Amino acid sequence: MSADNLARTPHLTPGFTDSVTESQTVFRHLLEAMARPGTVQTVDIDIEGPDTLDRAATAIALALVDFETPLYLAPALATDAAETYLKFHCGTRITRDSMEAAFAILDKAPETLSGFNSGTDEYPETGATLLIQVDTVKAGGPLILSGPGIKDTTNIDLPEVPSAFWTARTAQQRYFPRGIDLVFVSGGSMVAIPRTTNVSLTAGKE
Amino acid sequence: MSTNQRPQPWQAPEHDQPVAQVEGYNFAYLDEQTKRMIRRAILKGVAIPGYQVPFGSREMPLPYGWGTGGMQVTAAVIGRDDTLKVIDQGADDTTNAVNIRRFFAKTAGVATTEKTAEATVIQTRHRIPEKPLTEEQILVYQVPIPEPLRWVEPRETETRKMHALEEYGVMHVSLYESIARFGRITTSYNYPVQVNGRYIMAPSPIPKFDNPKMHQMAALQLFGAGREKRIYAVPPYTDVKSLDFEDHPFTIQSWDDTCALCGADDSYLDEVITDDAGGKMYVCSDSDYCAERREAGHVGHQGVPAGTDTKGEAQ
Repeated sequence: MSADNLARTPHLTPGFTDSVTESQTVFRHLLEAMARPGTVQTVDIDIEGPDTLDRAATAIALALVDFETPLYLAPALATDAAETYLKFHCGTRITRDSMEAAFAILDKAPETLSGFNSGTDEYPETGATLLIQVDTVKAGGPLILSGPGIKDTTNIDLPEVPSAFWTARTAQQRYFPRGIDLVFVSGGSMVAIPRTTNVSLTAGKE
Repeated sequence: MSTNQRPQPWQAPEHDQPVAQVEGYNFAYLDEQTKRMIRRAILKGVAIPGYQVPFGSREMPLPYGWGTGGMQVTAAVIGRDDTLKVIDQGADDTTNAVNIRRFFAKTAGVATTEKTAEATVIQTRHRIPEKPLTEEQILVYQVPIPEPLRWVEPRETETRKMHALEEYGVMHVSLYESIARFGRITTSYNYPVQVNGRYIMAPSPIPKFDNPKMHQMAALQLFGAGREKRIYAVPPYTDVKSLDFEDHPFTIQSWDDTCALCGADDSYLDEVITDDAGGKMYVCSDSDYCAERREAGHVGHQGVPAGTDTKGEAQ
């Protein structure tokens, strides 16, 4: 894009500077996060994304979202700048219908996961991936995770996510292999909770 | 490399020589859109352990059956800082392994190694290295037939439904028939496993000797089937159980002999015919494991100490 065109699109900031290397780096962080739920991965890439999006959310979108994967933005995040940025750099379609989204970027944990596609028993991979922006993701804390990718158990802390969310998610897990995969992001950090991970709260939290 | 410099069969293999990265290809050969699609499939595969995710397999510059699925997974995963090891039936120096290693050295410029411990990404055809893998490693399997139920049910629509409903009785029936006919389960490779207590999965044609290594492995395991267009995964520390019956428990192969070169009694042995009179020897299928043992001073009953020639004289 020429400098002229950029000037006429005031909201648009650059994407990756080296998309081949940076996409791969971001993907590997997310792969590591998905393969080892509860581990905090940090994307160490300088991206000047839209104001409403965390750096890790922007990086994941740039690395993985394209015309094949409709993207849903929570109303609080769906600014003109964010939509323009994602449409331009990812070539994706922004959808207002959360049910058809392959990826969604949310500003907080949703009250229910039933607003998102959880795939079918025959094609469970069509279940959505939610990127949920929070202020804090950190290792160690009241949430006990177990399941594939975790040796015994591991603990994390997501203080802004209400316990009702985990209860609803646990109830939804009985529909496995249908399910929704979660990535909590904060700044450049991410922690993934795929559908197979069991989350329970240590006593006293509820 | 011009054609007149092509290595000839009578020349020593060049696999240990550095290869310059070639111009004109995207990093790791595949285009970025393809990599994104494969990466999304890998992530969903990891999220649903043992489930085969369909993906848009691309044509690779070698035929199906030569590891195109594994190569596409490797191409999507590998980065500039990775060190790649490729094995074919455990060996680093066979045609398939040498070619794939050179392919990525040329198109991605990545470091390659034959040492299991030095590799961050290991692409394998039909073996799991003997040395336990670590959390820092990713094992990529080349898979010819990803569907474990294919031999009992040829229709994809039906096998998909069977996986969806966890309707796996027929798999046990086929194993039972083997017991009824032969007195034991005769499947010796590609032995079906159940992942995380849910999906039945083909472990690719690894010998059943390797099946126990998949259970609770520290490394991430990814599987790519190019012709069949499927990607699946087993996350680290995940239960992988070989199917069996209480009265016919799963067992692995064992040998009366030890490796003729390094004397190992705990590795998977290949039978090598040495003459026309029925002479044979058993050697480790994992060439790196065997070499490392010999370097450490282990000598098999037909071997010579490391660093000496066949007559036992110092090289």
